[in-house]
Amino acid sequence: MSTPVRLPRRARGRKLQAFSDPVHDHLMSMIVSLTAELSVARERQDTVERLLERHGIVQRAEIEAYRADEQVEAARTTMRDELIAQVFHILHEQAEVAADKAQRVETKAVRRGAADE
Amino acid sequence: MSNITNIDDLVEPTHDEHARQRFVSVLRKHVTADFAQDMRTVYDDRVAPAFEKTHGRKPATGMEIRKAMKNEPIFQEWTALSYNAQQMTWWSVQPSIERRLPELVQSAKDAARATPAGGTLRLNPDVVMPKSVSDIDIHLMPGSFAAEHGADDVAQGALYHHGTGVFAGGIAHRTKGGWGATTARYFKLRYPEFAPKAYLDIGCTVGRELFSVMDVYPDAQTYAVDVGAPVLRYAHARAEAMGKTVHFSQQNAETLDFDDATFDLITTSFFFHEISVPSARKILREAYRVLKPGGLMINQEMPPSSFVKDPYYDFATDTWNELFNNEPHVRNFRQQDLPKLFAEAGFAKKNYVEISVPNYGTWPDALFEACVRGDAVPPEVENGQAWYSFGAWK
Repeated sequence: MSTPVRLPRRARGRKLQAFSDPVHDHLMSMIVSLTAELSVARERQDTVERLLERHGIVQRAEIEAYRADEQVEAARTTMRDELIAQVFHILHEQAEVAADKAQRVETKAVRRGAADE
Repeated sequence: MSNITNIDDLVEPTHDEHARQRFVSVLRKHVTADFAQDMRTVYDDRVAPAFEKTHGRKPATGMEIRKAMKNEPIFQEWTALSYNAQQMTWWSVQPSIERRLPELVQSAKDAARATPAGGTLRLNPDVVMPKSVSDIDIHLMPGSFAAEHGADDVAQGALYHHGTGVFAGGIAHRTKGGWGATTARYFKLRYPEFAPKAYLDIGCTVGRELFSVMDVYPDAQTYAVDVGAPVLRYAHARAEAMGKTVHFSQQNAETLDFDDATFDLITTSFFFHEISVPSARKILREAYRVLKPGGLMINQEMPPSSFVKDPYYDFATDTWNELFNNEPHVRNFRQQDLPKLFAEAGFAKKNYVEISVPNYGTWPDALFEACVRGDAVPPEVENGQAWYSFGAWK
């Protein structure tokens, strides 16, 4: 196993359709994902600020006054790219579904289950 | 206990991965408790009265409620939240598994070679895979129980183990006690003369319930089957590290390769609603065949429609799981006449067993024991604080 394995993210089977307009389903996915990431980011920030305070290293006022230089800005852009790919994952998933012939097999299996007896 | 590393401990989430997992656990708790209660309120206060006004009676079935709720915004939003929380459960653990996958695979190989507990693992690449495992991903877990991403792969076992940990993270009765611990204690207290010498768990996945049953019946020779090789490799590695002697084999329980009258005890948990009813019939016949006379088959499940009475429970349980959680058989299974299925498999009608027992570990011992004796009424299964089981003595 020299190349790292990427596990599949898309579950085979019936797709969510809770709303009459599929776009609403997609928007809901984005909102939930975004909320998760916001929670993660807040938690990390909370960790950092608590540690800084515990060790008497940085005062809150200093954090407020901080501005990024060019190098830091580039690193932050990468972080933003990754965040966007994750939050708007549903767009990528639609392309994956369109390209995946196996979908037909999955649809059949779901129907077979529902029609069982 | 052995001194090999438990494969469970190899996956170490980063700070942010851990934060993401905790978020998903908490979101799931809100979805299954608070938001579900809000949806129930909308149903009770508005949807059910409107139905009654039109039809002159209350909705009688889960499907009638499903139809009445289909266009309610809160139902649509709740469904969407459930779906997303479910997907994110698996996504929240996948990166940490990918990062350590070579070590996970090596660890399972080491455990299988050293076998400090003396268990075994028999794999069969030609096993007949049920369609609900080969074609779709039950519980939206990408790759399900059997996908292999490399040689000797254990990734799906790790995904199921760590993902179910996130799934259960906000719910007390899913983290403490559990069905295996609860039910084995029930039978030990209620039938002290029942001392199984040979025990089989069907659809064992990564072994959680089976290990709990073994704690109560440590003298039973223990066997476990599943169709998925990665979950079996993972379960075997765990068992060896935990010092539990289990003989795992990759088998479809519709046709087991064990001799007639081999086992005193057979268990399944959250198993039957994932398979078709024709398949359930075959598995019950096999269970009857491999059980010894006087042996017990006991199965944990969501309670069937006939047990819960309230059609809203059927609506809430079946709609989401059947339509969106890739569990196409759940509604059909919950409507089966279970004593009849057992009778058709050969079990005598009088030997049918149906019990609900409060979760061991979250309820006081005194109440637990009173419920076992039949001196107290257990809490409602519908709230998740008691476990429903059905089965039969041979």
